[in-house]
Amino acid sequence: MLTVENLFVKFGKSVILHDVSLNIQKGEMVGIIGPNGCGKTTFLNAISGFVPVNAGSILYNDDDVTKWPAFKRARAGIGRSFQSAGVFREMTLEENLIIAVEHAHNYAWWWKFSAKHRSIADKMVDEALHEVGLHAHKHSLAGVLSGGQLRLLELARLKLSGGDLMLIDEPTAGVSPAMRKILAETITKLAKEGNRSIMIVEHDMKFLFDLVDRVIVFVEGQKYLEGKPEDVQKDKRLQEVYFGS
Amino acid sequence: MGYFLTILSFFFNTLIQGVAVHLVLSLAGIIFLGMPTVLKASLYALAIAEKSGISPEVSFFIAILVSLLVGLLFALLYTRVSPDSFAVLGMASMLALDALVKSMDKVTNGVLGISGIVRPGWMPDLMMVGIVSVIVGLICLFFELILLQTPFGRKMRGFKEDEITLQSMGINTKKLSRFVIIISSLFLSIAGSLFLWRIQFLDANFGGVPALVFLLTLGILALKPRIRFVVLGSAVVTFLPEILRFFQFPSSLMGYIRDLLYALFLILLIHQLHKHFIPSRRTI
Repeated sequence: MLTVENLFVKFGKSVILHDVSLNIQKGEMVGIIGPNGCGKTTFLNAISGFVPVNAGSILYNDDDVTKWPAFKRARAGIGRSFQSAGVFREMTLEENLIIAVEHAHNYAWWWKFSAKHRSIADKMVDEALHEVGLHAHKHSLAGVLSGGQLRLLELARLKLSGGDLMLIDEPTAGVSPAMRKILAETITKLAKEGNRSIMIVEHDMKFLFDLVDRVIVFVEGQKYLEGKPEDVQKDKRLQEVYFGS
Repeated sequence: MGYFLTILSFFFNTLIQGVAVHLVLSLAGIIFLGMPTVLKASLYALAIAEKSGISPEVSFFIAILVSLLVGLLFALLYTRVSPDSFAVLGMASMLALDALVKSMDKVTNGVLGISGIVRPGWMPDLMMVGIVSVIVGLICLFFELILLQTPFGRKMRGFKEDEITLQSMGINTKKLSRFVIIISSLFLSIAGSLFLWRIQFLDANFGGVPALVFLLTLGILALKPRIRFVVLGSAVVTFLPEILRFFQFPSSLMGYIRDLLYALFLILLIHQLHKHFIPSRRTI
């Protein structure tokens, strides 16, 4: 589904990603961990088209998307969430999701005036909000939601956008422990429902190890360690990365 | 009656400009300071075309075409430079066009401006100008009302708040911003043409900083994505100078005092609403 080969990303003279290669299969969940500044988010940005790649290639469903702009990659099915939740805070929850629905389904400009289209879109929005437990806030502005609720709204939007590969950046940042459990369940459901592939960048190792099929450890812009969560967890090199011993 | 018709025409003319500013500045959050340039370019196109013997109706379409071309130029520039640079560029374009029209005596009549602009035959007096302004103003308002209900309207609002998230949803934000600038230029040109047909004289100083202050005031008054704020903003900027009637200022100073009033009002608005005016954009 996604093949990254020998990826290099530089900002000026600094090499942020150094010869990174990776393969993700359909339905697989991959977690990326590593110390601050090791290039995890830049890796997601490079795959989703938000930073230019200096060398290497990114193949998505056999298409070479390396030079594609971000919006074109998203249309091809690469969805993305951000460290700071990517939602429109001055819009209602309903409007946030409506944008995703109407764009994903290529609705014509007049669709809001058609009762049939309205009922289909309403149903999709209602279902998505029920799934993440935010239906009661449907008509509230997204700006009033808590950090965890914003994350859930973003995941609902990702689902409605209809991508096959989801890149999720630090989903638990600023989220309470109770909400982390709900987030983990929502991400798992998202992956299983559509047999989607998911790549998560995360600092909370417990959250990540419980969730993913494979873990990759980044150090100084390079892949340092890779394996099943239980194997990586036991590997002494992981201790070295985080505690230097 | 003359006063009433003038105010009525001015209000609906302002309303059309309000729609233009509302779309580009208030909804999409594009700091398009080149708006007076578009306005001035289209007014000169109309006036020069008329003076060349072309009928007012055809001249109007030439003015529209010119505004679309200038708008397209700005739209292309917007997607190539940063938003801050685009704002500075807009200011510079205003000064450049001003210098250009004042130096091209033979074509533009230089600093004297162009007088004797002829109205279309079906708009012979102020009454018809008023009626046409009302009709066109309402059509433009209705257009925006519909636009706000469309996917494009929602994307435009999203663009102001978070362009990166829109891109991550598969939306081509370059195309979106270009379209907003072009459509806004079109409305400015329509408003400008009606204005010119009303006063039948093109002042060479028109379309400068005072016009920018006027448009920005209008845009900030209508920051919310609701049509009623466009109407309210237009009413405020139309009737604000009427306060000056209560004072006995010399007539030679009235124009400057009106500009001062708008400028002070704009400063006050920016002070109060700056967080909503220029949103903090997400960066990658």
